Amino acid sequence: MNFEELFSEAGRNASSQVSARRASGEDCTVTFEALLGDVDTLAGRLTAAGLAKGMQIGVQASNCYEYVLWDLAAIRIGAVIHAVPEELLAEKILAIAQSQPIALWAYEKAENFSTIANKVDLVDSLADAPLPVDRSAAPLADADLHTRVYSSGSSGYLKGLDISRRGTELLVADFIADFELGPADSHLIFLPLSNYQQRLSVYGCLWSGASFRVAKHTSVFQDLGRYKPSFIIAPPAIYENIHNLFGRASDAKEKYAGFLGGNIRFMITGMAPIRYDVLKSFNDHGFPLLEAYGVTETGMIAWNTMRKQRAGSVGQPIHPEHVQFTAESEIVINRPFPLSKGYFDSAEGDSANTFLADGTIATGDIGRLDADGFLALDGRKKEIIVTSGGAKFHPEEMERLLSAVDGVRHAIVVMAKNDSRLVSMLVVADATDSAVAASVEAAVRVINASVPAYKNIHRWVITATLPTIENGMLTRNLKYDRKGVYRHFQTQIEEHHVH
Amino acid sequence: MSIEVISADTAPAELSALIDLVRQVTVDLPADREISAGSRFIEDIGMESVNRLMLMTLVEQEFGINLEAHMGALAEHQTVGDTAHFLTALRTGR
Repeated sequence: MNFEELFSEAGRNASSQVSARRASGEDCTVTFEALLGDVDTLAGRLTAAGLAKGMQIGVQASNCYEYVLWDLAAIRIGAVIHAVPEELLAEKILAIAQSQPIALWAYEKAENFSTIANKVDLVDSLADAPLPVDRSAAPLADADLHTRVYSSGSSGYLKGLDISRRGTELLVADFIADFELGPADSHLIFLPLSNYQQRLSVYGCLWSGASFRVAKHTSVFQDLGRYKPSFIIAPPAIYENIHNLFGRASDAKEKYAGFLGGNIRFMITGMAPIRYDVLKSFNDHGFPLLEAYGVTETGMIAWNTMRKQRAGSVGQPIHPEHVQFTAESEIVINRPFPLSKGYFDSAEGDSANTFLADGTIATGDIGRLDADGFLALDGRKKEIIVTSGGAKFHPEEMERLLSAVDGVRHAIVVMAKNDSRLVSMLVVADATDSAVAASVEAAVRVINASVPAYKNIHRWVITATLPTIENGMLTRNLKYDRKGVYRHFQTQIEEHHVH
Repeated sequence: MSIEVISADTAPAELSALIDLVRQVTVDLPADREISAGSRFIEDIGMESVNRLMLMTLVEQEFGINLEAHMGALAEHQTVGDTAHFLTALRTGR
């Protein structure tokens, strides 16, 4: 795949279709030919307004037809999409607008852009009115800079990544080749387009002629049955839910087929480990579920394919010569064109810890190759919590809130291994005092209600045992040793009991 | 602990159907764990956001309604009873 020929290649499959919700709300299905026509119209408007090569276009929107349109129009004119996460609030967007030379913002939620002048509502993407481009916005000079995106990185905080044009082209080409994408395929995209992975899927579909639908994640289960895709890419939680519902039925194969639409050729899972029984159930019933592994910094590293797969591994490295291991078994990538060129916005030290001085990229993941070259992952180098939905955050975030509760002396958050639930050890003066236990539990519920569901504490252990170096719950630097805490309270942590 | 007040106009059949669907989605929940109108999706039943999306899909099929326009409102209902009440209102147009 190469961007130079993306549009002519897509034009060869002029009757392939993209379907999506428009920003105005109604659903649409258009041919690639019509899509390319709309792209040309928008690109013409942008050029007429003074938007030139290398200038940044900020986009904040949920999945919709216009998101695809703006991405492709930017490619057409060599502009750089600055993709802002859809949940980012007005103050953060303003901070970006003040620190970055964004020539034009395309938005969905007007309330997030009330103080910004150079903006256009996505609904008006194809309207006639001149676009209010800030012609003084300095262009970015790097010809290999394709787009700027944000990722919840290993620290759990948002990081800004510069994405490589060549890195993207090579990755998409690998995907098309290894999964044999073609015009007979249809792909359901439901994760946010602001996560770069989904835009890669769009490019892959356009190049290969695969039709695709851009949906919102809230309708993923309904869209599977309605759109009947031939392939999907989803976090484990999606497959686990479908398996929970149908996997144990005597007619599981028929039920899977009905729910997934009946056209599935393959399904990819990634972003977090998947339960082995779920993986096995889908594969045993003829629905290939293939685990893949990659990070935005490097691009995809390994994947199982229809031809080469091993359950329990994340597949063979796509380019084995790019994969190295440190003495601690951390996976380190050394490839000529990684997906990301580096961070443009990150916490201090992140860049030096990830983009190493020798040109390699540290993934933070511990892994090993088996005798046949399949890669298995053994966890994070740091103790970041990754939920089964793929959300990442550091346990310290919840520990800070919990340890502020009256009567709580220490709060340590770990993830249970048997059901991936978050469990907190809450150290109080007297664990037998039922009044204290009741007030602490009430406070945990209040905290749970104030944070996103994936950060919710599902079980808690009220204890009077203080963490010490001696009992293995503190490191020598007097930090919580979460592995030690887990060992100490393993029985209670794994107890299947919901408060 | 919040006290759940179930409105009298929540049809018992809908509450019972919703509880059935919650059980289908949360197969890991111990069989002896009671699910009632006052059960909270997150704290009491241990559901995550994807579980709730699946639940809403089953509700659409079971109740024959389209919830696409109501996902935001549904997410705000924390208990089974509250949600059953909302669904009753949707079906009856009240």
